[in-house]
Amino acid sequence: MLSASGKPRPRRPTMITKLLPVHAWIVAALFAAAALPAHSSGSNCTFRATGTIGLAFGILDPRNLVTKTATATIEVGDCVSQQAMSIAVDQGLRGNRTMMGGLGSDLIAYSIGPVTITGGAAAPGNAVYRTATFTGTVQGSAYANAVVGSYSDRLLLTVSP
Amino acid sequence: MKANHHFLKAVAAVALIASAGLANAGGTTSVDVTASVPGVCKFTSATMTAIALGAMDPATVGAAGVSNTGNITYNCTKGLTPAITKTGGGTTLTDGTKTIPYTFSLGSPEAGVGFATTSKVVATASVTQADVQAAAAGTAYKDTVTLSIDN
Repeated sequence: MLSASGKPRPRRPTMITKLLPVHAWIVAALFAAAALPAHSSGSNCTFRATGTIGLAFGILDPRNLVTKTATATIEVGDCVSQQAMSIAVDQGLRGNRTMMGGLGSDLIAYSIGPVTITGGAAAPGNAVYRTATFTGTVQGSAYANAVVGSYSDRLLLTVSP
Repeated sequence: MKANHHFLKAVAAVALIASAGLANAGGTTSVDVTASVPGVCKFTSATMTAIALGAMDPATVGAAGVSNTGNITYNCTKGLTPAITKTGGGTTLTDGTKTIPYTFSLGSPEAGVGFATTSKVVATASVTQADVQAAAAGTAYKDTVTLSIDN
């Protein structure tokens, strides 16, 4: 191809040749992500939910004021073997471990015990999990004057590393 | 050029979706904490304080007859108003052989304010003037009324 001056015009790279390296990079990254197994196979531990994870105290009957307990169970692991796993439980949606319900803004306080990992806190390795449990407690005095209705809260669990 | 621009947008969207999915696989999870409080009531005692009609004098009884009241006390879940009904008694006083007709009625129950606090309904026992005047002498007329509370 000649320019107006008669000199050969340098060949312009096509759009495909300009973008190809970018495409190749992104597509390669996507394929790499897709090739990752379901578990992390990394140093960070994760939770594996098996069924509904809940801490259900059931019926708190004011006629029979007793200390009610409930236990939550979750699997944790899938990280580099022998790392010490640690699970933190936050204070819930209101920051004070209370279930809200009744007429809408009524509260029932509860407490959470320490998290126990069956088999010990040492991580069992990639794609392997251990069972973590913790217990919640509602004192009878916490619902002695409670309003009728359903109550709930949501705790956030964080595992480290 | 335009087609490639759209292609890049699509790739970027897929990349974002992929990264969001990986973020969810991180080291956090949530646990729902739940409980329920039923609407329930119960009497504070299996036996309430007796309602005493005292000495009913046929010679002096007024047109209103003789009556007295007593409190039936209970605890209810906060905000719940119970239904209290008479399931037995409440029609006849007797000393074992002689009888005097009477009525037993209940007022409007207070709403529950929580199980830690007692609520009440007022019960009234009444004997008409005519029944007092017709009564045989006796010192131990009595009756037992049985009540039930819903919820």
